[in-house]
Amino acid sequence: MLTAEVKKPTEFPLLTENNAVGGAGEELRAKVSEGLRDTLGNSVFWADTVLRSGVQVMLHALSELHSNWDSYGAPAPNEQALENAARILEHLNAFDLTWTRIVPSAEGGIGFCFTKDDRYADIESSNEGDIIGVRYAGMQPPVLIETDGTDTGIEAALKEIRNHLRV
Amino acid sequence: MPHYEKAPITEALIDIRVELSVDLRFEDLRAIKRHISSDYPHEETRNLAEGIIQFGSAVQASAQQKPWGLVFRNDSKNQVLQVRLDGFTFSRLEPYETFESLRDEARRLWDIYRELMRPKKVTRVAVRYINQLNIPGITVEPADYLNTYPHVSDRLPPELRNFGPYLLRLPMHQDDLKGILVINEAMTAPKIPDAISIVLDFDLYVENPPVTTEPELWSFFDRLRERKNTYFEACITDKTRELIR
Repeated sequence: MLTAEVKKPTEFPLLTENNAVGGAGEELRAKVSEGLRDTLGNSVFWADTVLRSGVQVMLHALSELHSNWDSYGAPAPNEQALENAARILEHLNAFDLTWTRIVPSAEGGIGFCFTKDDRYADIESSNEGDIIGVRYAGMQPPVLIETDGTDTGIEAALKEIRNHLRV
Repeated sequence: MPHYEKAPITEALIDIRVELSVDLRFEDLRAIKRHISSDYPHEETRNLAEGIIQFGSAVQASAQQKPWGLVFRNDSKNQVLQVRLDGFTFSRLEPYETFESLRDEARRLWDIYRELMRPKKVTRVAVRYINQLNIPGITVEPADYLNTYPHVSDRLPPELRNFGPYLLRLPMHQDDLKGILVINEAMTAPKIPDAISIVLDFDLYVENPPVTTEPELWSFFDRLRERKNTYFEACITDKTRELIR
């Protein structure tokens, strides 16, 4: 039977463990890498899948952070922040993912940061349950992006970010 | 091939690899933008870093990046053109329309690329269809939905036969076409809850295709598409047909 992975997200592509040192292991690794390069090739879908699975794995890693992860007393992201972050991820399209970095917030929560040239924007899911963003270009003052926390609000915030990044 | 109301095609693409003049540089590709920017206004640069082709720069930034190609998307973000010094790829994402519309738009864009880049020859052509099947349930007997899948030995007791996620890459020789059809089959994150998502990807390519004229080239794509259809139909079961009908 084929079973769904429920314990934690799996990063794609599925790579072989890098612990074999013999010739056959090396050859297999080279073949797998070559095959993966061919598979991912010119496909937009596969590029999106790789990026999305990478973000999911990062999100999972953030769920395992402990308080004081930055050694300055930062709280770990709580369940509310993780739940909202997963909702934000659902709204990110292939184009957004290209520009996304995901980071824990020193104030408690998870931030999705987008950078393109001199333009920056982020949307943050806080431990208090708020979803709020900011955007700026170059040395211009930052502009707050507010949401009401609903799916419509998240989508509107991401639309504002896309317009800001001109993507 | 029967028409499927809910065709699971998540990406269909036409890919043409070429040999260009050695004098051409990456910057020369930018000339294409002027001719397509009204239909494909969103541009990004695709980088090559340590042998890995990347989309964008934020997720896996590298100091050793070098520009590899330009990517142009339409406003709806469902049509994507990639131009590179080694060729050209046109992708149609969801919702898929028809092969004819894919082929015609690819041909229109190819004509622009060809006119500006003057390729010396076509070195490889490919048609690729990536399907994503969303199968209800958190455990699935692959044989119910697929005719091509990793077979786990029946000699194992049932409790030791569970598997996944997996990635299968199976190059199938196409002697008459002098090409290879690669079946990539993988489990990915499902689009709907409590489902198993299986990607069924058919990548059919021919190196040094037997074509000398443009009409021959585009007729050849029709042949590749027919072959892809043969494989798709052979790889799915009636239960899958029910899902996508």
